[in-house]
Amino acid sequence: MLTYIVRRLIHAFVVIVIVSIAVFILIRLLPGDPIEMLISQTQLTETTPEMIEALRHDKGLDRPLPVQYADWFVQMIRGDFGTSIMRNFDIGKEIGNRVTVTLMIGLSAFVIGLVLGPILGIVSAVRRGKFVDNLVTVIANIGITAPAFWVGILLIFFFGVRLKLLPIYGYTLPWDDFWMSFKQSLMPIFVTALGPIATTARQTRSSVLEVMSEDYIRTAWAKGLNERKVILRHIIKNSLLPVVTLQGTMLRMVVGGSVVVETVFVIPGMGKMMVDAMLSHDYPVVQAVTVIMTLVVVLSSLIVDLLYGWLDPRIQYD
Amino acid sequence: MKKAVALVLALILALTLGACGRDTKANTQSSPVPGSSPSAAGTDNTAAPPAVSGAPEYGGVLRIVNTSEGATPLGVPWEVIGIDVNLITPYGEALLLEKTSGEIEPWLAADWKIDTTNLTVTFTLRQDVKFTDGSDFNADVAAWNIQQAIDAGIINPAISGVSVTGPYEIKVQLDNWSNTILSTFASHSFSMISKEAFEKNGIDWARENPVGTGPFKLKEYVRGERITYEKNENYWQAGKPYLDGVEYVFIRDVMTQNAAVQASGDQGVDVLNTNSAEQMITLNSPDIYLDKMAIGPVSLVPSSNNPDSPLSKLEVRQAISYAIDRQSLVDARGFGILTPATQFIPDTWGAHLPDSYNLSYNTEKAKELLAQAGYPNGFTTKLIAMPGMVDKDMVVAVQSMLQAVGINVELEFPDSGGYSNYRFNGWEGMLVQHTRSLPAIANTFGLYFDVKKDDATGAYSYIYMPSTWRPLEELYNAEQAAGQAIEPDDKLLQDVHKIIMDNMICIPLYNIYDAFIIKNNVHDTGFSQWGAGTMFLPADAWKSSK
Amino acid sequence: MERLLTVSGLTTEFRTERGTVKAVNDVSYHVDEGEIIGLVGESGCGKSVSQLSVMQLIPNPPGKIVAGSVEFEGQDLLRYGRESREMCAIRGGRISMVFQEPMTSLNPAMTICRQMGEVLTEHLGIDKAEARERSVDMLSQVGIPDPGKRADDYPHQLSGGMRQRVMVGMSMLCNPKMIIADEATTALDATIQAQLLELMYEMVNKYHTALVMVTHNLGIVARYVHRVNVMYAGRIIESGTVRELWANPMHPYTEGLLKCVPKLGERLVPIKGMPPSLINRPPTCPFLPRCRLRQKSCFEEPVPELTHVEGDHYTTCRVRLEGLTDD
Repeated sequence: MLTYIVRRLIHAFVVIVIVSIAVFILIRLLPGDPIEMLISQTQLTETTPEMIEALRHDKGLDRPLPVQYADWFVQMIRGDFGTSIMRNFDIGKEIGNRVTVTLMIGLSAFVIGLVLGPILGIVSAVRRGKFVDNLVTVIANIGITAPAFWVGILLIFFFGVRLKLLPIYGYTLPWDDFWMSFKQSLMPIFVTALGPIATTARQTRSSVLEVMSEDYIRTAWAKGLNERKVILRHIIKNSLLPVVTLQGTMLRMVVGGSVVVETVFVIPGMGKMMVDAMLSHDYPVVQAVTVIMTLVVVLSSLIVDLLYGWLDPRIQYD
Repeated sequence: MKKAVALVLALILALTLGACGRDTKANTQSSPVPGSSPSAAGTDNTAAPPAVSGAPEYGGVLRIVNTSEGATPLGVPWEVIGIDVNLITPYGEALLLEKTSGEIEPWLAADWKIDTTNLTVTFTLRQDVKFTDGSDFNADVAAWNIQQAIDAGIINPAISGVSVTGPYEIKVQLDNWSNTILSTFASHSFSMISKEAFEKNGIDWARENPVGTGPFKLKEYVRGERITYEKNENYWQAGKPYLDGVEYVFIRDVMTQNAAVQASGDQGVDVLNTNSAEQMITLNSPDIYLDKMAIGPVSLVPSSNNPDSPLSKLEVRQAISYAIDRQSLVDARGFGILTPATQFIPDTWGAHLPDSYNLSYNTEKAKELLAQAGYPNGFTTKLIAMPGMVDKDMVVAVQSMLQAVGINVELEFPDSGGYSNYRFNGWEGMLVQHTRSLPAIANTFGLYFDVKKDDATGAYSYIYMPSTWRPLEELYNAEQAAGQAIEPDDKLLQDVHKIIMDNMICIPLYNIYDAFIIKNNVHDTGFSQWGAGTMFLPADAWKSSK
Repeated sequence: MERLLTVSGLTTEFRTERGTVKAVNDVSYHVDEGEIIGLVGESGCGKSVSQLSVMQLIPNPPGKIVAGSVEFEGQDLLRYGRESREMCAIRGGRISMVFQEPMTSLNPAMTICRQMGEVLTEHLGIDKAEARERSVDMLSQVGIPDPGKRADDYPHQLSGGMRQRVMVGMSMLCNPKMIIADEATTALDATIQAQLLELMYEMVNKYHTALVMVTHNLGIVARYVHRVNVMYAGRIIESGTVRELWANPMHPYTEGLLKCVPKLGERLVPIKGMPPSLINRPPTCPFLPRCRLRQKSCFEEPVPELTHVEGDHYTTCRVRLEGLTDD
């Protein structure tokens, strides 16, 4: 087991390196030079090629690519993610701040999805065909299809402008002002959780239905267990496998944030930073963010795989 | 099943109606849902708030929407670019102020003298100004600030050096004179910060801790969310500022901006700057006043670098201009705010030409000119739209108007990287972009119509036109004359304008407006009086209790 | 011997797209204490469904018990709801069931010990430690080597035969009055099958438990079963002791079945034709299309009830009943 984990961690490292090289190259292939974009945002009315080259040199972007990459990689290992080209901020520190915010919202939404989704799915499967099932299915479909920004804007106008119950925008960390943080988090967490709750509910429902038709469930009934015990002891653990996989892919969202939710509710999270950096071709920021995200993805897939082993004893690790 | 569906649908309907209900109260138009085009009758709120009697009141926080991401450290002004520069305004002050008309006024520099022979500008500085760390603002500090900007390479390259000539006097050395140089010193990118604090604590500290001379100082900067400034009790203008604080909120989503403008109290914003006519109409209400001005047209900018391209012929460009029905463009997508651009410089500026220069709509003339140019059956070309600033529907309308005279147009909507690529490295066809008129009109020409002369070979070059094009020399000379006058001269600027119009270097379509949507209880901000460099005077602003 | 179970007129229907299927059609039989009875018939004749109906394990929808009674220990089980406390107490406690598929009938994510212990804690209310002790004891009784260690294994670590032993053991843990073995050995290979059958025989005799053996294998019936019911198309068409049926089958179907049992040296004689559809059954005899004895009256009259012939022997064949002739 331990060797398995170590092996997976080494794989993770290799994956991160490969992905970082790929991103490094790909973003430089996109049309649009960040230096030119930088220059065009200054208030200069005249730009000479010399000025552009001087700026490029300043930012270290005129060095040969392998040198740029090696330099960046070595620094990253040491924990220094560099400085943004476009906006001059310390990337490591900024990621730290943003990840914290995104985690607060994302983690809450994730946990809610993790808890509420399966519950709805189980209820809906066990009461298949009845009113509860139909209701949950309709809500789940809405949750999956309704675009986040539409729901977000609706909520803002209804609860924020109309009823004046909740703040319209902004975010405060809970340890700075708990009540304000709570009020500000309600709508974004709801909007973020909607999709995951819906997909998890649907996935759980079909998984539970499948398990319910298994022979060992019939055995459980034949042993005289009542519905509650059959569900809790026999059905849940066995239906969780596909659900866990799904949740694993959603783990990414916890750290990556949702740029739509962040933009609509003005939350300083990872999503906005990522998209902003990509649009303005801010190479070091894009690279740093990609590395972080890759790390999260490989770690969450490792966690999911380990969970499998616990859920299904038939799975071996070698 | 049906019950469930009905229940949910009803809930959605209720929410939607509730959200839209506010519009019917707020609008004088009949626009039911934000985003739809209302009828054309425009509402033009007064450019000034309702008259208020009595002295300015103290207190309150002014909340302004800024559409940047809000991640840049602001303490070192010469490192800050783009919209983020506005965020410096509450704490940082520059040597001069610039009005929208282009007029320069003294600020931290009380007076200045221009010497065009020796190519210097000598500034006499105010003597009563202190930084928030207590250190003195003097010639030494001012010169240090300017030198940093020169070293950073983002100041006008004509400014080559600065020296201290007295305890409160500095002399700036220039390579050549242009009347846009003074406006450089009004930009907040060149605000003065404390040299003492910088040298004592280093640049990393300075980035996060702005030390300026302005009426406010930094209280809290939450990246990506907002920046809060609080009152500087020791401001050099006694009795000011009136406000307790200024806050910028980084709302980038249009709908959230609208919600914020409509809210009041802690969540409500007081000032929103927009050039979206749609947004102006949506937010129009008795609670706000709209401070708007024309800032230049969206134009078609043809590239004629290829001498075989039809766009290199004057008649073709004129034909294109005749093919556009500017009035119907603004009728359809103008929301009652936009106006047709019949000249490159709108009539708000002195460089506007007499009506005889106005462009008009005449499809017969267009076809006639095309035939004359040797394209009786039209030709094929491309339109490349600037992301963010140009309305897609307008571009499609232009495409069909050109189609009507036989010109087949392919549309392209690149992202900002792709667009920047075209602008810097050349393109085939026409760019559709905003050609902004800056306060110092010569800046406008410099930005878009900059003709360069190679002193060694005497050749003229210009990114938009082939070097074989005759009027290049004419344009170069006219630009030099206009730029080098001591002060902006309308007559000289008109000369440049004439050359642009006569040669149809670009084809203006419709005028864009920049508007400040300001709550009625906010006074004396001066947003539309001051140019983009100065923005507004936070020291003078105040809020009346409501 | 005391009467343990009396099933009368049990009818179970399934609603399908093509119509209502009468899987169990007016079935009546009885079981006495300690008896081993057999329920034979080909696939689809309703034998499994009838037993699942007794246990009320029919999935609903689409199945439903529409008529009949199941008298057990003085109560009609069908009066109790499917998930009622009473039925749950009966299942696993008073009547147990062993199913056909050993590979899938145990929860793959639970240890053997836990799954077995569950029955004990559920019905006898004993604590975990005691439950484990009894489970391990039962494992050794059913012939599982090294039961203490095996108890902590997961089902996939046991072979099919061992799993079925576990199922048998599990069914006996609470000392039920009756066990229903629904084709319990069909999925196992011959030697294991034999072992398991011997085991079951031994256990039910030891504990004086009644056993209902559902099977299509007449060989098993001959060896272990005392009385047998023959089912066809949802009905019991003949019943009696093994001796009675083997010596004098009173229904052409039973005859045909007996001829299908492989015997050394003899040819197999299949019954021509296919079983009928169970949707919209007419009241006439279901075996009619394949019957070689059929008379005109068989086409016109409804099929007779189980009618006494002699001793424990009952049949539903009009021709045999009326003629009482040999063939």
